[in-house]
Amino acid sequence: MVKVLALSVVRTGTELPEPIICSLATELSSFGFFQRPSVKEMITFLTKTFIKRTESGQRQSITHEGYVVHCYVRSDGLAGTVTTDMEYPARVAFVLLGQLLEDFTAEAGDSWKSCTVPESMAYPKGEEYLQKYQNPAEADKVTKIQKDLDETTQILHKTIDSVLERGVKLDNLVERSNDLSAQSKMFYKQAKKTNSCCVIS
Amino acid sequence: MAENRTTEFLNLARSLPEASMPPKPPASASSLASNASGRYAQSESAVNQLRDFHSTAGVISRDIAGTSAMLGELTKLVRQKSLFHDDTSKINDLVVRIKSSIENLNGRLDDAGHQIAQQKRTFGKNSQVGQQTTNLVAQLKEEFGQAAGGFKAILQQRTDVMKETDDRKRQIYGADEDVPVLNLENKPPVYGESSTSMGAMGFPTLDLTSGMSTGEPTSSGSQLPRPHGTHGYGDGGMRLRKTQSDMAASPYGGTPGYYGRQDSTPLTPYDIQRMEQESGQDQMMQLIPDQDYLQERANAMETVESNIVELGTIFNKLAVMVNEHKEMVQRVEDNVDDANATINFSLNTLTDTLTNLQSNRALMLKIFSVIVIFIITFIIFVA
Repeated sequence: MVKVLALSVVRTGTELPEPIICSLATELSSFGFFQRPSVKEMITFLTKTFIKRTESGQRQSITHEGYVVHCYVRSDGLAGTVTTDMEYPARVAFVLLGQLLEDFTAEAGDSWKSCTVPESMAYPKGEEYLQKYQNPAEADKVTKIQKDLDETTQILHKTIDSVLERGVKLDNLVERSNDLSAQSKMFYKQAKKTNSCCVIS
Repeated sequence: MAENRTTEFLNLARSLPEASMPPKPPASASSLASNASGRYAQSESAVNQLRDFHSTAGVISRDIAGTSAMLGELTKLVRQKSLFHDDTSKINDLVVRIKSSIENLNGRLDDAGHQIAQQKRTFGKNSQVGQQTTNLVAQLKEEFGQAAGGFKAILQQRTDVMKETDDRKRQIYGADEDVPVLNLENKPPVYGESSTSMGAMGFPTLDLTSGMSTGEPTSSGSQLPRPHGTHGYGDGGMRLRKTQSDMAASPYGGTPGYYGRQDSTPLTPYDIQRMEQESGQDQMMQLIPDQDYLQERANAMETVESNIVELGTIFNKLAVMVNEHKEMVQRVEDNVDDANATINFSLNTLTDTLTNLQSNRALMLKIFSVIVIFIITFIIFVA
């Protein structure tokens, strides 16, 4: 099943010893109740480690224990990670990251640069994004377009098939109408002959 | 071996005039070693020379084997595709090591070849020995040529892949300042500028395989500029083309057309490594993981575009088919109209017939006419 586990916005930079998670949104309903805190720990740890290892302006996708962490570090020091399962398309994840970071900057302005306490910044849109992107086919425009195109192509193929059938049937009709015309001419001749002078039965 | 030669050279310099020149004119730089080897070959004892040569040949062949192994490793690494950039540094390491060993081997092979050529003259009667050594040298050169050829192919492949992704990335990321574009074109060629003192060609090129043709001396007109600071390749100007393998990596230019190179060997891994050494900043490392994502995006866009085009063609076909049908429908309509008209006529005729038949007058007329004809016939017969 394609799902997104967590989204996080991280502040990073070479002056910081460890990247600081400004905001984190998680969707851990697939885990048992008692597993959730440890999973969350793991996610934060992985996020920080991978962001630390990612160069500025670079994207990375790292697979770990059946889950993939897509990281993106922007050149101004803001970074984000998306933790998903193996089936989630990487491209959509990075699109999501880009949008997320832009949104975050638009909302929070520059205040994230002074953020020092992990998960201190409230960012409700993170949750929204998380929910929206659970289904990559709907959230990502490219995927949606692709799907629509595929549907349309299918329908068109069916249409072409029907049109071909129509052609065959029309051919049939032509032949039959030809026959009909010939027959009616014969009939007319006969009728005229019957009506003519030779009336001897 | 170098030490031996030095003492010999000093002896010779003091005692003998040059009896015969080496067959190839010496290069203008580092001709010391070549002269030394020439004189050394003439006056050393034959057996010692042979022994030295064989040991050298053994060492060379061992090195060639080692280089081939490294080449195999490099091939495996290059063929791997992964998101992690650690492989790039490994690849570059390997590339440098292979390159240096190839250069080494090249030089040593040249020396050995020269030695043999000298020896053959002194060995006049020992034609068997001379032949054997020449064969040995030729074989070593062949192996070396193979290894060098494989190396070149791998470099080419690597550069092609990187160039492809780089182009695609530049296409996508036209205005994005986040992406560090591969700044290869902006860096000045390191060795090209310093070596303008000689050579017909403008730049040094990695010309390994062309020099592998059984060591025949090439014309002196094809001298390539030799970078400063190279040692050990003093076999005369004839071997200059081969000697360009050392350190003479092409100038920074990821795209081959950029500098109009003579040889079609792009050397992006070298450039990358040089860039790292020079600028202390590995830009290339950053680009490779990004390229996956960008490549995916490009692919998705291409797919969408091709789908849309396909849809267009399908619509066109549909239109053409329906157009054809129009004609057929016309025919059907005509036929049916004809049939309709004919049937109407015949209906009319038949109704006439019916009315005729139903009315008595026609009948009586016919009966009367029949009787009249009968009477007339009867009268004619009787009368």
